[in-house]
Amino acid sequence: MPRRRHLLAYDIADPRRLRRVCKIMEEFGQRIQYSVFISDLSRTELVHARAAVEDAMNLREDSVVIIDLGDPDTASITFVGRSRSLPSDKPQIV
Amino acid sequence: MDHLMAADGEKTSEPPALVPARMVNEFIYCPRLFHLEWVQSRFAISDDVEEGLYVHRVVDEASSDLPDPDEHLERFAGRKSRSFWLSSTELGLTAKLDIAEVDSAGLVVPVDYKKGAPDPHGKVWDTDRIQSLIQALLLRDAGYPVEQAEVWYNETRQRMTIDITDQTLSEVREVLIHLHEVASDPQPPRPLINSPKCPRCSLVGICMPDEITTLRPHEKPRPRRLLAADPDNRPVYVQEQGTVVGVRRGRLEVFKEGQTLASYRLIDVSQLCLQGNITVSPQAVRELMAREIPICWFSYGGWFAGMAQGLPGKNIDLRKSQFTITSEQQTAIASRMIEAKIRNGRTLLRRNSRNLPEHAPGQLLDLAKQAAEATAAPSLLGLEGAAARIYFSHFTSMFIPDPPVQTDRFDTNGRARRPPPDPVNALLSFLYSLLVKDITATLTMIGFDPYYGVYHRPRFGRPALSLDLAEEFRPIVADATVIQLVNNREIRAHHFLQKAGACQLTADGRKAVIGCYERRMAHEIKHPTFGYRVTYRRALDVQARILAAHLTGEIPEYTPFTTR
Repeated sequence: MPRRRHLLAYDIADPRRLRRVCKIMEEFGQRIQYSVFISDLSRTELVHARAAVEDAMNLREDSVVIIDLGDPDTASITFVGRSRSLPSDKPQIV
Repeated sequence: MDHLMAADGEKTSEPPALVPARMVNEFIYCPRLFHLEWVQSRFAISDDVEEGLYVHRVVDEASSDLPDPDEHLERFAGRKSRSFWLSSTELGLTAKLDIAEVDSAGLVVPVDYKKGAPDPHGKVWDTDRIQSLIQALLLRDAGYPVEQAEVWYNETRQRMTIDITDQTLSEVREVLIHLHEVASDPQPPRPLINSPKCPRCSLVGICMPDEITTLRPHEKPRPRRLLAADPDNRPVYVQEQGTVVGVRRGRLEVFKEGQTLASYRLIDVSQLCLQGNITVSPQAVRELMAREIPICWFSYGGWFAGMAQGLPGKNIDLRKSQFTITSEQQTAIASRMIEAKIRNGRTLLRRNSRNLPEHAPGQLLDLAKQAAEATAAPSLLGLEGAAARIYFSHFTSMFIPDPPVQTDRFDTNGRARRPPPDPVNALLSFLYSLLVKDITATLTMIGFDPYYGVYHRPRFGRPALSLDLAEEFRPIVADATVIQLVNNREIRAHHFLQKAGACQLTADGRKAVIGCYERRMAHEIKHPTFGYRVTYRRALDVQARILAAHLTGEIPEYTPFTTR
């Protein structure tokens, strides 16, 4: 299944859980702001990310938002001021 | 039920003693799928399956045991037991029950959770019904009174009931007899023909129902587009000398002198390719192996030196047939591969050459036809050599008139290796090692032994089978990349270093070549045999699986990949 671009943002009440959620976000996405990530995910990857985050949060106190932005090639994202790099599917050469 | 487990003297493999109910479910869906998963241990991730597992999280937290069957079960009415295993060596079955409930009459009711919806007639799917019957059978075997089973469909939020009778249970027993017959045969059952089940099946890219059917004689080909999607992950190449590759927070990170040079999600990585002096942390090696991501090492000069992968492919029947085919069969495969190599080179020349003498394509076509007929390896070698001389003598005629790198020296040198004396040879050598790397990774993943070939002789450190399969892809993948690099002026004179008769690519040069090669591999073409659109990367995978299907006797002959 082709991947779709998602915006992930979180609000975590407790610093310990915050670190755990943040770690999962880094595993699945690319940070564009302090608690905002952009992530290209297939349906399977989305399910895995969601299950991992759900395990780390307290569902009564914390909140995570997942916004589906559609096809990664057509999703339009504008940075004003300092910008961060977005996920790409170019060859990965260091 | 001992007769079910008895191994047939004629057959070679014996299945493990206990079959999980989930596998019986797969067997009802498609006996070939069951064989691939249970007998050959081949799995693929499917979005539907993963979402199903997510729905299951609710019932997967084990809680409260069922009371002992000898107790007065009525007293425990309403008790639920979640997520527990039941096995019976007598039945040869094991199953994980989502929920077992005790009702007011003291009967036990197994409840199974399903992500989807009932079938189009509003009934329980056959596969789900058999799975529930097995759970009931196991509960009865453990001494519980069971007269009904239930299935919960999450999508439509419906609870459906199944009656447990002697008649329905004997249906299960018949299925099990058939299942054990299939499991004890090393050859998988034939693929389903034109079945609506295939497009939704997670193993469609491994099973290749339409491809196998098309290549079988006397079966009518019908092209569908069933091919599994291309993977989203790509190789990571590290060639910056002195760097360290590690894994942190689910990402592959490349460091140098305390600085992070790059960071990739592990879910984006299909291979890790290291050129020269790069360190990989032991933790990273273990994590990559656990994720079945191969690590490929190259010398600084680009020589493919080795590969590390987790556990070897589980398809032991494939390896067995690879080692037991006759030398006639080997030559028959090799002759088709060399035929395809010559044909593909000819096509490339005809498409790109600016001044090809009229007789050259005809000569190549003759040699290709002779190669297809060759019955001995030495004559095949002679034909291949003759074709290569013609092909490479016209190779530089495919370049633009004022190429950005020196190409005329190739005309005097011809194809020369170790060390490559000129830029064109340097490009060819580097690209061949990239191609052989990808083919070796693909073959190993499918379960081949890449060191035992059908044409190239086994010699220390040479992945002979990869070199065999590379033949038909060399012109259209590697040589075509050289033409693209030169004619698009992506490669320049300053990308090469000339040292003591050897020509070497610089770091920037290698970067340009890898980038162009990866673009070529991701390029989509119409598949010459099956008609659907595929990338070269996926076409390579399909080719390796066709070779596997031929070796294990599923299709009578090997059909190589030839472009028109």
